[in-house]
Amino acid sequence: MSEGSAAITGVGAVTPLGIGADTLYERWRDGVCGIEDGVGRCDGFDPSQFMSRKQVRRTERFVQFGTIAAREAADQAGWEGDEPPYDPHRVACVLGVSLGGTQVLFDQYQTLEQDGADAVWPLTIPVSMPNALPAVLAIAHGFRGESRSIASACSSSAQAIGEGLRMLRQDEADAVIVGGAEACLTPFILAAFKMAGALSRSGRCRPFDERRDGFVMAEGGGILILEHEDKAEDRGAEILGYLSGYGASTDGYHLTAPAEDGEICGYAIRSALDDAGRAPEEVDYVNAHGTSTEANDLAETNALKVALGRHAHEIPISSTKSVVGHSIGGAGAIEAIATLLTLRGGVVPPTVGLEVPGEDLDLNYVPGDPLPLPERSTNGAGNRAGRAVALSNSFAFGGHNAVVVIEA
Amino acid sequence: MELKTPPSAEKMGARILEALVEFGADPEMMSPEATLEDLEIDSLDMFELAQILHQEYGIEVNPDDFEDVKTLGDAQQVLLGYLK
Repeated sequence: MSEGSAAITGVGAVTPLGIGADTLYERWRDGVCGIEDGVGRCDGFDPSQFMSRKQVRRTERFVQFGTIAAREAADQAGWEGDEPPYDPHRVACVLGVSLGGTQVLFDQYQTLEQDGADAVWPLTIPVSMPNALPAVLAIAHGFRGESRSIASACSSSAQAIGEGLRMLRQDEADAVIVGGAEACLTPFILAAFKMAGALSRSGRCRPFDERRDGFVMAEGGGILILEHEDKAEDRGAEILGYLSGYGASTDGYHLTAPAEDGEICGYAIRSALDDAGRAPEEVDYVNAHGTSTEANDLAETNALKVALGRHAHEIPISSTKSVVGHSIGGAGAIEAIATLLTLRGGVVPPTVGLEVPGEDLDLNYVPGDPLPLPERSTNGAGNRAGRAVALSNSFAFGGHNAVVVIEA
Repeated sequence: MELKTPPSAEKMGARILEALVEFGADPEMMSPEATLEDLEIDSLDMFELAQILHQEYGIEVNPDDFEDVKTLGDAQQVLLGYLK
């Protein structure tokens, strides 16, 4: 598979809308918003329902999200006993995270200050390390191929997904567990983002709206099982959709702000489409990065125009963050899953909270009600293999841009 | 070895069991014959246990002493040996 698509055979998610990928899509489609009091928190999430007391004690919240999401994805992929149906050495895992286990780190720093070095919890590092999730999943699911974490802020898990595609194409694996998770709704991290001028002052997430005033911090995780297409077919797996392209670029412009003209982000979008062998006219839906910051939503709009030309005006575009907020290292995976389920469901969920688009924001951001995908998408006319085609954008602090192409 | 408050063997034995249950071991499975593997007690648990014994009793646990330890009974023998 030197080129071509990866089969997506399982997905799982934990988000402020609840546990489960279908829950995410269905509640978003129905306009339910999981943001409360200015944050997107996974309220009611109880890891002890799914994990042993020991597992809970030894995992930070972001690892718990990823663990539960991975179990859902493995179940859906039909991995018996949650173990992969391949040589374990041919199953890899690449996951995104931005900050990792911040709560344990800060708690134990306080312990150090108050009680001295000998009182610091011996498990501080294994529990808080950013690569804890792939390590825990390897123990849980028995894979023995390459595994690692990618940290590129808001693009972390989109880059992890792209890396999984590359590994399959280079025949380094038969299956790759990809995605990411984040849980950093701590007072310190919230304060740091606030003081960087990124957080919404109103506590509302209104992507592309003239009243948008920053993003809403959130937590959550998403996992996708990618498999070599032929091998997934050979074992009779249900293929939910395809990861057909990946593109990336780096702004090299500013540590936190995107370049307003969208040229570099647009390059990532165009690269992803080229990688998928798709033309702009074939794109049926865009799942926007759509953070609700002044800068992102304008730059992303311009990037879509740069990459898709006139067709940018004809494509429904919506932001999952409008209902779950921004889970940083988990966002790209959660949104890739939402993108896949949008194509499968045939209905574009709306950008909740969008009423009046901001100045120079003149694309179809699907305000108000959900929108059926255009007929040509669902009947396959004009599309290779009758698949609908969608983009999922991720643009990060640091200027890391990553775009995946998903088809179903 | 300087002991902060030298505990009785009985008291320290009880404290060890209490700590292992707190770490997640199944109290129903606790017996001297139970292997650490069956109890899902690994080296990270032993680091935590060593910290507790040091903080509460001033005992310095040497990880090398656990090289041949297989069962909970073996582990207790080594740990209680520090009281001698």
